Amino acid sequence: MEIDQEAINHVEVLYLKGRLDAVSAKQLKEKVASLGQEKGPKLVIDMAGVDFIDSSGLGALISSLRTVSKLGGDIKISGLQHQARSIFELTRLDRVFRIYDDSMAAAKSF
Amino acid sequence: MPEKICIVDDNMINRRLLTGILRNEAYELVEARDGQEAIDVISKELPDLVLLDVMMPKKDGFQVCEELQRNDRTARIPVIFISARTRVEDKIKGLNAGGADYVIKPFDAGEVLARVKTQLNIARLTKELLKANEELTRRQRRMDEDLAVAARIQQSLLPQLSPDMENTAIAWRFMPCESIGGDIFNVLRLDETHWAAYMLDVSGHGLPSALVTVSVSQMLHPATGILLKKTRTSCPGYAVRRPAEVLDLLDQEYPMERFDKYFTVTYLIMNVKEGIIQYSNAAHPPPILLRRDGTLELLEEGGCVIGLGGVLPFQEGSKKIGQGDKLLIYTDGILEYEDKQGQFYGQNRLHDTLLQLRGRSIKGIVDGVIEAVMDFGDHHPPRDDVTLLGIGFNGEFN
Amino acid sequence: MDPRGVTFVIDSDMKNVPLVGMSVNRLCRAASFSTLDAFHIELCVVEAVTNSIRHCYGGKTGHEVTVICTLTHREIVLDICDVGPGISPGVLDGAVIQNSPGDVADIEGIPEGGRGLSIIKKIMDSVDYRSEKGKNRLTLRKRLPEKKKGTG
Repeated sequence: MEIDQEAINHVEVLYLKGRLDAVSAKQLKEKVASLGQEKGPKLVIDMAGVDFIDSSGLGALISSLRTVSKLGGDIKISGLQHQARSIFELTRLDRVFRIYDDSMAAAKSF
Repeated sequence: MPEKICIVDDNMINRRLLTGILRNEAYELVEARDGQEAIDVISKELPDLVLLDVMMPKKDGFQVCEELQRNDRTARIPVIFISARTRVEDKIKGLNAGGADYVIKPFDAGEVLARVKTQLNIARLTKELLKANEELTRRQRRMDEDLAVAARIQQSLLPQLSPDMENTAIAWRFMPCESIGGDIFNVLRLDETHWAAYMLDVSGHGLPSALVTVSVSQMLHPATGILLKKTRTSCPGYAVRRPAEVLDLLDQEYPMERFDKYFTVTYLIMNVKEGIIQYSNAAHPPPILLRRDGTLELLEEGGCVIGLGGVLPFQEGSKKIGQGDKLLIYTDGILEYEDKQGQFYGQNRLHDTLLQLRGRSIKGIVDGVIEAVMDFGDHHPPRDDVTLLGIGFNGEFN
Repeated sequence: MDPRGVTFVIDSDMKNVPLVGMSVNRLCRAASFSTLDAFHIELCVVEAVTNSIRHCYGGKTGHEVTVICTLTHREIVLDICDVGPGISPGVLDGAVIQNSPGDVADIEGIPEGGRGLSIIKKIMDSVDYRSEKGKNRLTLRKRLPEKKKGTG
């Protein structure tokens, strides 16, 4: 999986590309952990480029959310393709994460 | 070439039965009568498939199969066990020994044939997959080498590329068709309000074109004073030179007769406080403004190629940009990248690709476009330099 | 239509899982499943194979996972086979998707893993598990979409 990073209004946006599964889950967790121990981190994870996600991928998102919320911050999700969105709905994680159409909307929501 | 099958059975009647089943299918058949002969025949003939009896003198089928597995040349040959042993343990033992399938005697002709075909199919697909993978690795390596070369040239030609424009993300791909290219671009800070970006494409390829690109890129360096002109009348004592003026100057400096080369160029000034782009386009493919809401606007104003000696004045255009808009500047190497039938990738496909990639990071969009372009032409090496620069405006404007 | 099938045998390496997943996805689309259904079935196979590598083989490579796909005129059947410690009795029955709390403040209460089996149960029409002498087989079934009247 590829992860690009851009800042929008001082919000860090991680753009994921590829499959978010057992292989890449660790990569995402490490990336989020590497973003530093700043207070109240604001993070957007953009999934427009994610064409497959499984429960290991969902686990990585939850673990990332836990890491960030311990520091008083939050993670918003953006750009879900409809297949990935169906898995969020199936596992009811659409109630745990705030989901936005694009990264800009997600970043502005903070 | 017909696929070759080796039939191994100590019983002549069984061999004859199997031969009978397979004879009408245009396979080449070889036989062996015991375990040792099987090893010899298979190592020599390298068949595509082995039908292997289990109970045989000298070496039984399991031993034969294990021995085949240990030899690199025969390890990939699929083995179907044919045996009167019907216990599940035997089946497992056979599959553990490396067998691909198991048929129980007395066998049914249709079943044998179906299983033979399945195994041959799988073997063929595996072979194709391996070949495709090799090809993929080879291509990837070649592309990596190209990119490594391109990156080195890029580094030497573009020392000023400044990716630290506040609230702005920049990404680019540059693929010269020869080891050195005739395309060049840069993003430059003029003052705290203004940034400039340009891309140019010198006619032809190779060293002569590259020399002109280097010369122009040096001329467009902020230190030469081309991009900023001195003023006496107003504070701060200089003014940003308008895009059309810059193109006029280039047109005077690079007459076609002088270098036997002409070039297309897009030059634009970005006011990063107010979010306004001013540009002029000397016959360069029009940069694309990809709005956050998915509309596409082209930056078309300008004039003809640089080098004709001012036959026509350069027109200017301007665009108000908003947060989340993205600007893509590229050379015609993208539009004219051909597929096998000689069709161009073209403006329409580029627009469709951009719409599909909308919402990605600027790097995601730039890489995605290059990927789509290369996929379109089956990744054959480009005949012209392929250059794409993306600028993502993430900040808010006044 | 006779049953048609294809068998994938992979080494127990997570890197191989997408390969099986994508193959099953294509097979499903060829068998008239919608893109979304094909994605869901791919997800189930990925979950099952990942489970097998992680739990049966402790995440270690060098073992085999076999996925047998069988297509009949009415359904697709996926058998995921491994050899080793199986799923503990009751785990499969107990796998259901919990109502996640709607409040993000309760993030600590949301489990990170263990969603695989419940996703499979939610998506597939039937899920059976058999374990005999260390050989395990998880069987997943999904009915083909109904053909439109007049074309079937």
